[in-house]
Amino acid sequence: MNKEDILEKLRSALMDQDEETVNEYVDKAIENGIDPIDILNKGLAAALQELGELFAEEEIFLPELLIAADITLGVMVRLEDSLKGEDKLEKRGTVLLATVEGDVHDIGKSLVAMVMKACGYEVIDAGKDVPNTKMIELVKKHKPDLVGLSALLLTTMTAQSQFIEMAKEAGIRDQIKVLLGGAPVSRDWAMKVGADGFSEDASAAVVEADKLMGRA
Amino acid sequence: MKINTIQVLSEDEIRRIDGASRALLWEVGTLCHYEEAFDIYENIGCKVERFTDEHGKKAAMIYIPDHVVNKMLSLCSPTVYLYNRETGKPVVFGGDKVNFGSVGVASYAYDIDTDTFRVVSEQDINDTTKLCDVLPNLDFLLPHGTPAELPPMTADLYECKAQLLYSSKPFFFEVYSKENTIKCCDMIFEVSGGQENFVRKPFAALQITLTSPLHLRDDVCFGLIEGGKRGIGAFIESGPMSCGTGPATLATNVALANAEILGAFILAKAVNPEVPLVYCSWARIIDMKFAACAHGGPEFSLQRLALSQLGKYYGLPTGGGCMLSDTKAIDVQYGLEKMGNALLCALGGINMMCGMGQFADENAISLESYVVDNEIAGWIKRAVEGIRVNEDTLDINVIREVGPGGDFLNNKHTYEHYKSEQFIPSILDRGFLAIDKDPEKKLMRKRAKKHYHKLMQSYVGPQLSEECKQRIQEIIEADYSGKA
Repeated sequence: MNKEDILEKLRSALMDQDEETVNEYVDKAIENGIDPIDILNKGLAAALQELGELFAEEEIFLPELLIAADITLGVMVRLEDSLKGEDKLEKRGTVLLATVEGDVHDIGKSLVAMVMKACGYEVIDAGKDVPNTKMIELVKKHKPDLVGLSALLLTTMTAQSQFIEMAKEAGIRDQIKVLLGGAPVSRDWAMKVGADGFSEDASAAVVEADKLMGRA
Repeated sequence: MKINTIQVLSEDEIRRIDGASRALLWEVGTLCHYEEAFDIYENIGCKVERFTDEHGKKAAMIYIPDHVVNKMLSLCSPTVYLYNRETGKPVVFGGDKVNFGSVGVASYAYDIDTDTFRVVSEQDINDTTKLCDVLPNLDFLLPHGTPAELPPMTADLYECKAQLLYSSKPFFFEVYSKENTIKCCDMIFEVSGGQENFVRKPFAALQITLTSPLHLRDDVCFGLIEGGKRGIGAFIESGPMSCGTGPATLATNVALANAEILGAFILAKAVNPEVPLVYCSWARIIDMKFAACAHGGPEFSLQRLALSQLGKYYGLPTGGGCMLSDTKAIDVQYGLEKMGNALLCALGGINMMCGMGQFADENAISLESYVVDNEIAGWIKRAVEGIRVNEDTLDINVIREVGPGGDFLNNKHTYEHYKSEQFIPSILDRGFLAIDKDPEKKLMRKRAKKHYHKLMQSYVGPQLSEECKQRIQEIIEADYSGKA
C-alpha cells in the first residue's frame, strides 16, 4: 500500500467515525514512514473539513462531526511525542467565545464552540455571564484572531457594543475580529455597533470566521 | 361527546417521573444567584448552601426536600381565572378546557405588505395586540416581541402598556428588572383601580421562563417575589432543550422540566400562598442536523402532553408552547407543524396553548400568521368538541320529513344547526376547482391578508380614560430605584 492509499483509507475511516480503523491506519502510516504531520493534516484534517462541509449542508448530524473531532484529538495525543517542535495540526485560527455579562444562556455559544473546534479552530470558551473587563484580559492573554460574543436577550445585547468600545479604549480592537450572535442579534445590529461579522447559527459561524480570516 | 383526552404516560410512569424530579430537587439541587431567594427557600425548610462563584458573585445551591414540595402543592388551585376587562367573562385555565393564546420574544416581523422580514418595532407590538383583541379564537395574550428601538431595559414596560391599552383579553407579561416588575404591577393596578380590585378579579399574570438545567435566574426570582408580594400570579414554564440544556431521552428531559417548574412554584407560593399559578412547559429539542432548537416536531407536543399530565396529576392548570413552527415562511411546513402539535396538545386537554402568531423558531411574527393561526385554533376547537348526541341533534323526524331521495339544503333543521355543527372557516378555501379561473386566487395566505383588514374594521379596544393612559406613561418614565 502506498502513502496515498493509506491516507485515503485513514480519511475514509474518519468519515465513518470508525475509531478502531482510524488507529489501525495511523499505525500503518507510522510503519510506512509517513510524517506524523501529514497523518494529521492530509489524513485527518482533510476528512474533518469534509465532514464540516457535510454538516453545514445538513447531510450529517452534529454528534457525527463531534465524534470525528474527538477521534482526531485522540490521534493528536498519540502522536504528540512524534511531532517535531513547531509541527502541529493546521489551525484555521484561534477564537475566544463567551456569553455576555448578565446572560446565562450559553447553549448556542457552546454549539458554535463545538462546531468551530471540530472544523479546526482553536477555541477558548470563557463561559457565560462574562464581564467585558474579563474579556479584555483574556484577549490580551490569549491573543485570539477572533472574539465571538453571544447574547440571547435584548437587555444583554448592549454588552456586545460595550465590548467593542472597551476594546478600542484598551488599544486591542485592531488585533481582533469581532463576531456577534444570539437570537435578538442581526447583521444590521452587528454592523451598527462596529463588529466585523454576524452568524445566525454554528455552521454560519464557521463560514463567517473563515471569511474574516481571509479564507473564503 | 367531547373527544377523550389522550395520554402519553401511564399512571405508573407519571409517578416514576415525579419521583425522578423530586430526587433532582433534593439530591442535585438548583443554582441561584438572587440573595433574597436564598432566605425564602431556607425559611420554608430547604437546605441552602451559599458560596461565591467564579465571577465573584454570591450564589447558592438550593436543595428542596419532599415535604416542601408536598406543602406547596397543597396550596395550589386546580383552576385559574383571568378575566376579560370589557366583557367581565373569565378565561378558565383548568380541567381539560383548551384556550389558545399568542407568544412572544420575536426579534423580527414579517411585513404583511412587502413580504419581507424586518426588525420588530413597538408599532408591531401595538398592531399585533390590537389584532389579537379581535381574533375570535384567541383567548389570552403573551408579549409578542422585543422591539430593539426602545431604550434599553424598557421593552417589557412597553409590552405591558400595549396589552393594557390595546386589548381587553387576559394577558401575561415579562419583566427585566425589579423596578420594572413594580412598574408593571403599578400600571396594572392603575387600570384595575387598585391592588384589591385586581386580586378579586385578575386579568393579568407574570410570564416566568426558567433556565435549564436547574438554574434560577435573577429575573425569575425578582419577578416571582415582587409580583407575588403584590398578589400577581404567574405562568411558570421550563423549556429544557433535549440534547442541549437537557438530556437526550425525553423521559429524563421531562423529569428535569418538572423539577424546575416545581422549584419555582415553591418560591412563588412561599412569597404568597394565594397567588394563582399555571404549570407550563416548553420542553423541546436541539435538532442535531441543524444544531438549532426545534419547536415544530412531534417531540414538542409529546413532551407538552407528558408535562401536562404531570401538572394534572398534581392538580394544577397546565399549559405551555403548543403551536409553534420552525419554518421561515408561512408555507406547508408552517401548517404541518402548527396543526400537528396544536391538535395533539388540544387532545390532551392543555389549558393554556401558547404559540399563535409566531414562527421561525420563536423569532418572527406577522399579522397574517395570527390570522392563519386563528383559523387553525378554530378548526381544533371544533374538533375537540366532538359530536353532540342529544334529543335535538339525534332527530330522525327531519329525515322522515325530507323523505327518501330528498335533500336537506333548504330545511329548518339545517338552518338551526349548521353553524354549531360545522367549523365555519374564515380563510380556508373550499370552493370547487375551476381551471379557467385563477386556482390560486383564494390561497390561504392571500385570504389571510385580506381578512386581517376586515377584522380590524371591528376593532374598538379597551375604553381607558386619557388620564389613565397618561398615568401609565408616567409610570414607565418614573424613577423607581427608590421603590426597588
